Amino acid sequence: MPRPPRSFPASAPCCFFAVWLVIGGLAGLDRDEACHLLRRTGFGVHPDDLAAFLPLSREQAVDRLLSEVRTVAATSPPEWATAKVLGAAIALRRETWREIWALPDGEDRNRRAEAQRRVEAVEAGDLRAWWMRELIGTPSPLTERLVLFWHNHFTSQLSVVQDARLMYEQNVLFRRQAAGNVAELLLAIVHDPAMFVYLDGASNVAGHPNENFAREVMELFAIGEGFYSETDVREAARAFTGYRTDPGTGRPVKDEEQHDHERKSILGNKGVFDGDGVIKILLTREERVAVHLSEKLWREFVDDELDAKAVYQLAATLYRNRYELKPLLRVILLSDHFWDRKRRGGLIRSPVDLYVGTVRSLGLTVRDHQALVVLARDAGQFLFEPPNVKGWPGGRAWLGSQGLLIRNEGLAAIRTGLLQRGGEREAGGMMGDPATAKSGAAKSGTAALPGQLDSAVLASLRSQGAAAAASMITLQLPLPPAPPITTSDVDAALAAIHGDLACQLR
Amino acid sequence: MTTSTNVVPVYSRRTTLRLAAAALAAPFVIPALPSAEPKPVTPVATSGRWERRVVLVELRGGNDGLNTVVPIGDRAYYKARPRLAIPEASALRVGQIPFGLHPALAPFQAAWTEGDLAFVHGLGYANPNRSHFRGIDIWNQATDAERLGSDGWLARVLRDSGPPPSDLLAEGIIVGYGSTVAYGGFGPLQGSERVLAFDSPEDLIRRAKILAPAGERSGPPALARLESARDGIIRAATALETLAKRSKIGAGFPNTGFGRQCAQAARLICAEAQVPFYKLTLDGFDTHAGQLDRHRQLLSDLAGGLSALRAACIQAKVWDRVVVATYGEFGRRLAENDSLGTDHGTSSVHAVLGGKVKGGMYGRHPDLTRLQDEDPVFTTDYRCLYQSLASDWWGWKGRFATAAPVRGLGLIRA
Repeated sequence: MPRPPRSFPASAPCCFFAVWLVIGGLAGLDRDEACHLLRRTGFGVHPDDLAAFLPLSREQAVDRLLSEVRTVAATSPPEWATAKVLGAAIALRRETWREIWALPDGEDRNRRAEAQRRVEAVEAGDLRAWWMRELIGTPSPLTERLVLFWHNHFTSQLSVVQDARLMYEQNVLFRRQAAGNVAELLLAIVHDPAMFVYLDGASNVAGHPNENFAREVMELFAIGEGFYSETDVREAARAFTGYRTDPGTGRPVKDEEQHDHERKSILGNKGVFDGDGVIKILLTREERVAVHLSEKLWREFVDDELDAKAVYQLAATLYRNRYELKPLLRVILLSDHFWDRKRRGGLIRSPVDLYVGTVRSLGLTVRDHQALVVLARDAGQFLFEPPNVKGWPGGRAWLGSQGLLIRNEGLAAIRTGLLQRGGEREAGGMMGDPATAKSGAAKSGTAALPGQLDSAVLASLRSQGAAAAASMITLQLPLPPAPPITTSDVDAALAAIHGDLACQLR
Repeated sequence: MTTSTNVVPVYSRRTTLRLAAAALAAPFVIPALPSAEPKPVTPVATSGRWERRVVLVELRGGNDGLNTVVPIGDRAYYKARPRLAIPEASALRVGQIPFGLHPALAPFQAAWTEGDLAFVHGLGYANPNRSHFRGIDIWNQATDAERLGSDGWLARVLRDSGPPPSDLLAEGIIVGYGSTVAYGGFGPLQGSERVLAFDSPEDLIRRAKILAPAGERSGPPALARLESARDGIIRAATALETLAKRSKIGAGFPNTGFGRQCAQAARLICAEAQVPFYKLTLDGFDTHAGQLDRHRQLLSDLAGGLSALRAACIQAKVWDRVVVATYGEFGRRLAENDSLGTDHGTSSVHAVLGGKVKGGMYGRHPDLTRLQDEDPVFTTDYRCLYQSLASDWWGWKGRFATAAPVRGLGLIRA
């Protein structure tokens, strides 16, 4: 399909309407459609992105999003997380703790343990702030949405895994395969050091299988509840025995002496399987993996309610394409279900989506990423810390109890410049808990102008007069506001937008 | 392994005297009573369940159970803790039994004497986890150690509890907002949709003003959910405002964070707020060093706060509808460490009190001479305590999924 001309300036919001009139009728997306696509695949809508997508047809827009998906982060990771020394650093940390615990019980040991815990708390804080920076700064928000999706699918909790390096490596894996290949990702998870810790891989040895990992592979990662038996779990656990982190190098190994080399019977398949063998059985003999993943992606991109027939077609696409994700995402994003007008604004945003989307769509310069991590945590989504192995349940569960109240308070905090005060701090407290961030942020620095949020988008809109507020409303809300927002003051309109329930939707 | 099935009320107060002779005759071996089948508990009528209240108190950090209910008759205890043990002479005697209470628990004396305070010994589970995070997850979710769950156990119980009354204010209130959001979130109430978390009703009322009711519009089902969430908070805040006006914080609560939590819970319970479950948190039990002073303060805070809550409920004539229970991620190591503290252990003792609680000692004190990884082996599955609260008290018909079946402890009076 020919690419429509893109001769219009990208950052002139007042021209949007004209652009829409000229191009929209021919091949381009209309405003609602473009916003819908950007909201669902990214975090919020920035006027420049809208301008860039308006001239495109659905196919062009989706292909552009998919071609832009990244495999590595755009921002540089914390210093300690450099890839070359990672394995050694993981081993070193273990050695440090071994030395500490070998000390005689007493003041010296306590002091060293305390010091080491402080180091680790700082690393945990760094890690969370880094991902937040990537979420905000990435040129491909779809990539980070998918990384977050995988983090919530193959869950691990930093508080359990304890080593920020392992969680960093896992996050790198999720990005490498963000829109890559499900089969490769599933196989990589079998060898993932963070997962070893999280699901007790180290204690899963021949003769004494620990079923934790095998159970979650069946129940959550690959098959889904109700499609396997307890025997399958037990047999699969034997196949996963011996997978652990080498204490010398910090790299994953399969310890042949601890591995169970006997025959196993898994979902009716008999043979001498190891961990990879189990995954291959699940992938090639079962359609459930494709269905299970398609259901989850449907919920992420299309609707909370499943359409069994449509999901099954997606699963067939995934299976036919040998678990390549891009063809599946393409089908999802070009489906009538995805573009269905009735479904627009039909998903409840996660706290990360809400806050990162607000920051991105307003072009806010964030000086304090820790504060943003805390806001999302308080609303129930602490990065690297899903509540349990099932992950964040999402959807209406975000609203549980006073979730809505907390989210409104978070938006108000962003609006009044919380993220622009202070700067990056060293994380403190338990497990890099940036709980102290708020008070720290309040103390230092000031916002640009009293009462005005320092935002590139707002600054541009403030100079544009009456139509600017209305233009921002359509960028920020997937549904018309109720009651209508009549103020022409851009900052007052933003407060009203944040108070409108539709702001919680995408 | 001896676990749940031989859980018997070892020292029900009514049998105290009869047992005392046996206890004294066989000192230092805590009498393992014949594993008599527990008497079947008269099932509580489920119709009145929404009138009942459960107050859970998380002892965060892992309370030292052995220094809480002190096994004054156990030589192994004194041997393992030359500097930290509570001397027999200073322990509070609570009858002719080989246990005494930590002296800081003195405010509990009235509840014990009046027979509505129980302690359950040796609560734990197989393959214990000594991580704070995993440990509290396990206790919150009522799962076996090897099984990762998701929802809190009270949320699951609530799901089976039939339609709530129309004036339900919340399924649960977590008092102490700051203690909730991170790490396991709503704890035993995780997964329940109608939970409120605040420091005081006034705190929520003030904050809810940010939510303006708005005009009608049509939209996807998610919008209706948001509207109902918003209306729920506004309704709760409005209801709390009415309640808060007519209930004052009573006197006698310790002027501490935990004391204030107890006061707020008591205030709502006494004002007949339609809320079945409360969760309070007393933090600071991770006493690796300098334990004696710290632990004394914590226990004094605990007993002071809960006794004031009890007194307030008795005065308001609602104590018969309230059960309070403590829990926490683990107990502490038997042996003291070189820093005058104790490290992470496994099983522990927990307190249960209420107007309908049969006071006394339950479960079995672990054998302190048979250690596994330096810790005594638990005697009573912690879900026996939950089963008592969920079934015997709240009328839940479900069972916790455990390797060995558990049953209630029989500590609720019919």
